[in-house]
Amino acid sequence: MTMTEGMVGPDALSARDGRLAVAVHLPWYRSLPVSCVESVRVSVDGVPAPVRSVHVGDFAGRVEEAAGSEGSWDLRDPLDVVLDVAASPGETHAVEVALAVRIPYIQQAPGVALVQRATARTEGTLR
Amino acid sequence: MTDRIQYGTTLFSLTPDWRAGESATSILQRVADAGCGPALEVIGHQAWRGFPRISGADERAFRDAVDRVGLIPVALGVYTDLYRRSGRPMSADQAFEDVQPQLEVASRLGFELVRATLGMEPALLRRVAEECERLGIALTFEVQGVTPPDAPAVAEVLSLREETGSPYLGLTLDFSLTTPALPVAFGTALRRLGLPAAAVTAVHRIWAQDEPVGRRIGAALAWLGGHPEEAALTTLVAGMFGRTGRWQPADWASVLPAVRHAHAKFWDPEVESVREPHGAWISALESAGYTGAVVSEWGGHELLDRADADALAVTRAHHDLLVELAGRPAAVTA
Repeated sequence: MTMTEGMVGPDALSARDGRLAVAVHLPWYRSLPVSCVESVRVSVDGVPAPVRSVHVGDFAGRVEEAAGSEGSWDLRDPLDVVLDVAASPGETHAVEVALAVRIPYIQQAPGVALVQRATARTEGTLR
Repeated sequence: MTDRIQYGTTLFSLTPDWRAGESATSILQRVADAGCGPALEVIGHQAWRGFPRISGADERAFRDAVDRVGLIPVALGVYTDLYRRSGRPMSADQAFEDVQPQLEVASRLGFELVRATLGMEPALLRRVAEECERLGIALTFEVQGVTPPDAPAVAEVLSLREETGSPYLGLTLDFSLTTPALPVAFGTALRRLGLPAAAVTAVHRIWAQDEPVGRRIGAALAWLGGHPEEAALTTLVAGMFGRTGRWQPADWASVLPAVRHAHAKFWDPEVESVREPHGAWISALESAGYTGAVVSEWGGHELLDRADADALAVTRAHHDLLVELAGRPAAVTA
């Protein structure tokens, strides 16, 4: 299982309150602080889609608010990414997620933390 | 510690199973059933939700599970998440507060030692070492890949060890220090990310050059520029080059008395590929009178998909190889 495998599974897509949501698993081997989420970029059917909010553990908010979180993104939990894209159950979409997450204990150069960048794609029917 | 080397497994090797949501008790049972004990290493932030805040029930469940299946909790992987906040590292006080509860948990769960990332700032190192001594657990820092035996961070640990005479401070030695050839699985991963054959060949050729690792990484990354998966390829190539060293055990001879724990790291499911270097390290450790654990550590899950290899099957094959190299009959499996 590469880090990207299983990041976005075929059952990752759902419609929530009329919006498209994607369940994104952590592309790393251990749980990480929510504050290490640097960016989440999503495209739906090839079109960039605005991210409305992300939710995991005790955290719910905009991606940029994750930086101030004290919470943890557990290895077992998906980050629920809610998009500003209207959607209904039963629709089929192709979704690509590009995630950047800082690895807070590895410095790729002195004073510069490693950022793990992973891109995953799936196509599925919305739950 | 016993009077001879104890073999076992780090549960890092089962990362695909952790990521798929398997429970700690189920993983412990399967590792024991496969005969991959008795020594056990666990990564705290992998095995327990909310770590290091674990409940009394979690503690009892773990202790009961290892007792029941006959595993020995040797090492707990702990971390100082210095860059929890973007752009600025934690202060030494914050870093201590980050790691101290992890040390407490290691002690509560019955681990003999903790393994931390090499490079702890000296004042913090001293403070963490004192705390480990108070708790009665050893503090070890991992040396792996291209790390030189005279690296300043290694010297810091050795010098504090000499100064304090503490038996609670040392190193975790990772056999990736001696990597005669890049793993086959690394080439597989490069190709699957879409790197053209000519670039895959160039990356391998550059890795083998007689140049410092920084220069080799720079030359290899030049082949990745403009590729759609450049970011992922960069992390993969730089990470692999840094974790595949060309040292021989003799280069580390003077450091071996400080070794308290060891990882027999490998990537390829075909475990024969590490027979020679792992045999050399086991001999070197035996000759040095080492009596800690050597745990099998499979990193191939970073490079391969689940369909390519089963983590426990690969671990079992490697564990059998280690036991064979140690000149003992293979453990009887349940």
